[in-house]
Amino acid sequence: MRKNLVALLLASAFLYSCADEEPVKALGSYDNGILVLNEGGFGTVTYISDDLQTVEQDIYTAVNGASAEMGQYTQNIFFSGDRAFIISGGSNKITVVNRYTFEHLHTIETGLSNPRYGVAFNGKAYVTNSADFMTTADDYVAVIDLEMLEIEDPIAINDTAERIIEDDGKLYVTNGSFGSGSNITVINPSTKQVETTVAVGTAPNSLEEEDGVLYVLCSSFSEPSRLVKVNPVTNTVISTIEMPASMSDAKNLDIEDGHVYFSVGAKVYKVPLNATAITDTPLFDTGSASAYIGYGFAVKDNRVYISEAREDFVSDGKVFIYSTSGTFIDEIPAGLGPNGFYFN
Amino acid sequence: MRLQFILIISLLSGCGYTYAQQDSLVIPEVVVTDALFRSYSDSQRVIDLPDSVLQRDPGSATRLLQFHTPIYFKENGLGMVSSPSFRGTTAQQTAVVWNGINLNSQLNGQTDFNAIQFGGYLAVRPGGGSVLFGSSAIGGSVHYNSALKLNSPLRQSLRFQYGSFNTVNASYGILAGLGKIGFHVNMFRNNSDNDFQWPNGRENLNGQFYNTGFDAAAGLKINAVHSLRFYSRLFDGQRHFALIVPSETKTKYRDLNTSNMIEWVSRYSSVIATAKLAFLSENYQYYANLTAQPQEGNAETVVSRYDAAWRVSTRWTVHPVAEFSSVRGWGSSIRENRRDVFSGSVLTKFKALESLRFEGGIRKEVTMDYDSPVLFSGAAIFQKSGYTIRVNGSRNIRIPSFNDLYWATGGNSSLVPESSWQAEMGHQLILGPFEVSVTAYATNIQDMIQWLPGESTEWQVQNVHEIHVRGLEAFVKFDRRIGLHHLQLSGTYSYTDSENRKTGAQLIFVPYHKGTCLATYSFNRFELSAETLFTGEVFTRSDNNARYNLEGYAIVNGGLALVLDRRLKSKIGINVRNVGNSQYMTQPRRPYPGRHYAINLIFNF
Repeated sequence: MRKNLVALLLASAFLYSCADEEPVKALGSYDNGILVLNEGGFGTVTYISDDLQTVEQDIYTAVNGASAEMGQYTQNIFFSGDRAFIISGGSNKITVVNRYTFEHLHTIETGLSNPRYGVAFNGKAYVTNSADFMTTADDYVAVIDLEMLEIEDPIAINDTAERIIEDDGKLYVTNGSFGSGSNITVINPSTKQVETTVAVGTAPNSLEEEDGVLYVLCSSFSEPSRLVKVNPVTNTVISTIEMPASMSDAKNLDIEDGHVYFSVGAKVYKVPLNATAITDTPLFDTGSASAYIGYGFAVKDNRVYISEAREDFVSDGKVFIYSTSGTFIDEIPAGLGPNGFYFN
Repeated sequence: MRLQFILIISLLSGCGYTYAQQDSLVIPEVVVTDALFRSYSDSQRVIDLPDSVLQRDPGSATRLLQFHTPIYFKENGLGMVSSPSFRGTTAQQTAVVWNGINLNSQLNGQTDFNAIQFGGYLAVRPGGGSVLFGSSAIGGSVHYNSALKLNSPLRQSLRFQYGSFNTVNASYGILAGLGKIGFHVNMFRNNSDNDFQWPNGRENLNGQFYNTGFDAAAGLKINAVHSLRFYSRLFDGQRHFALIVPSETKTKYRDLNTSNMIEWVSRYSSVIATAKLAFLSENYQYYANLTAQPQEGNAETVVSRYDAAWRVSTRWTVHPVAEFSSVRGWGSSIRENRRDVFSGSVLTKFKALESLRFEGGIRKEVTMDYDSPVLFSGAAIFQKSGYTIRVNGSRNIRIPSFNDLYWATGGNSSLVPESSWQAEMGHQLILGPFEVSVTAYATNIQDMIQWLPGESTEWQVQNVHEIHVRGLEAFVKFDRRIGLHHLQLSGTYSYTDSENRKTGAQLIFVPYHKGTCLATYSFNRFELSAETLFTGEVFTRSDNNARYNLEGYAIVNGGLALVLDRRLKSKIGINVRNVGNSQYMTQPRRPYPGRHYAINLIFNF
């Protein structure tokens, strides 16, 4: 049944593209597809074409040679124009490539200390750094000039520096990781100053802005998960939706087409943006038994992508693809510890 | 990130025992420092590593055992953390036993073979031995015993080797015995810049290390019945951990391990009673960066043991052993805890016929921390004019380590020991200068301990896997002297099928095939030697995805020596390591040096 459905979907996609679309020249071998970042061991990137017909593992070494290395524990990719910045936490390194061809352009190896996530804004990149894992006192945001690819003075956070987004000229950094921390730090990039912190409750793990509201997903192993809405103008909490106890450890917030998507273990939830309550009614359940289901997650163009790292983390993981209505589309092998999806 | 965590967890976490020691400094009377090993190992084809082999590979226990035994090692880069796999098992399933005392770390359950220096008599005993040596003797055990003699003239030995990458391996030994009193001291120093060139052209970064220490023993014969002995060892080392990518944060690791033991032996007409009291300490410091405060772990162990070998008749010996050990462990990430283990065992040997002997033993450990199964071993040895058949079976354990039980996040105090059932049969044929021996074994291991993602914490350690190992070990030896010509050959081969029962996959970092060969030819004052290591490919992924396999490799080390003094065996020589300039790894992205050199001097006086 599933196979039939896949065939049908693929056929329709094919017909659709043949019939209606002007052939757009691809900007490189890895245009028109999904990049899956695999943490490693040694980091790799898997390419999946939009039609899901082409899958290529480890495209970085395929293009740049077997001895090319992005580093250990690749954590995150962010884009600036045609460039992709691939952050290796274990090797204090950012590899800059053409996002469509994956040709190596540059390597940033200074100013980084266990870097985590990054965002590009207004000619600069802002990258969170954990520095010494044993303390949060030394965490900071590295500032990189995107023109010269030079490191500027960092911004001290004085708390865990983890996820980072930009909205309306401000940077928002989550101060939670692994079930601890409770704030969002707001930074004014033009002054490189921390403006304020917003207390959102235990362990913010993902965030996104939509229609003037900052949505923050908070969870830990012990407390109920919460969806917190923050007013980014006043930097105050607007409301908090507490989820049922059965939905502890919710993570991977992603907003698409008026809905909030997130995962709890192997289950994925879809909640309207204006919901005032959340019940334990998943959109779908991948059925994965791995504790690392949901290691990476994204919703894009009517598809939900959720990755599974292998339970023992000693074998390659895989990617499940569903429609936004919860229908299974495909399952695709990835590399070791697939932890994020990025779209070309 | 998560892998980094596991890495941190896992961090924090010399071929002949001989009594007619041809190669050692002097002749008898050798003091037997590990009676259990000596008396109850007829059921195994023990691999002796004589001094002539030890001096080939000074300063690296890993290389020594890698090149001369079936044990496979993986290193996080040359000189870095070194984990053995013996008979297809894990690092925690190989015991290192010093003068009868188990030296494996109480914190992570294993011995790091780059943080130990062997001296004295070294022997490797394949197969289960928990009845005799306690925890970890599942795959096998490595025994190193002090070279103590009571009636020896003063002998000194100075050994110095200097090699590529500014590598120094030096030791000084002194031994003397006045009949009633004797002592032995061996001091060592090893250091290396370890900055060899990688195949990609860059040098090995941040891999420098040093270690210093000693091994000492003294004995006093009080009268015809009573003797006292004292043993002491210290290992103090620092290793910077080599980087994979140059921009990585530099880390380093310090080890400080000491062992001290006093032993009182009473020899009556039919009973030899031994009382031992040992104090062991271990301390590590891990620097997540070179300037940060280190994370530490400590353990202090007191072991007291009393055993009495009672010769009931000329054919039959009964040997009760009582042992009490108390361990206190604490550290940056380990809650302070104490573990007391009492164990009682009875061993026996019976000679039914001139050609047929039996060995057996039973042991029970009692502790508050976990339930331990009754351990046993039983063996029959048939021996007739150079032909030996050995059959044995045993039940063995590996107890949970302090990290497993008490690690602040994820430690699990409800763990049970890993346990194994083992059966084996060996045939050995000695014909004049020639020996060949083949052993087949089967080992089933239950309740393997593994760190896995947890329900309520990031990681949780659990008893999960079941492993079945089926293997074969073969040894050949040839030793022939004609006039001034002397040819010696010794080789090992092992086949190891180690299957995770849940997945059906071969264990990672366990090669199916491994072989070693040492050939030495000497003529007059010249000695020419070649040692060869062959390792088949290994899986690095638990699903055995061949894309990530490490290729098999063969390495040859050649040596040429000039004997300066034939009686005292002083010599000067040169070694060429990795003659064929092979590229190889035992861990992904951790290449070894190509061809490199060392000159060495052994001066005995």
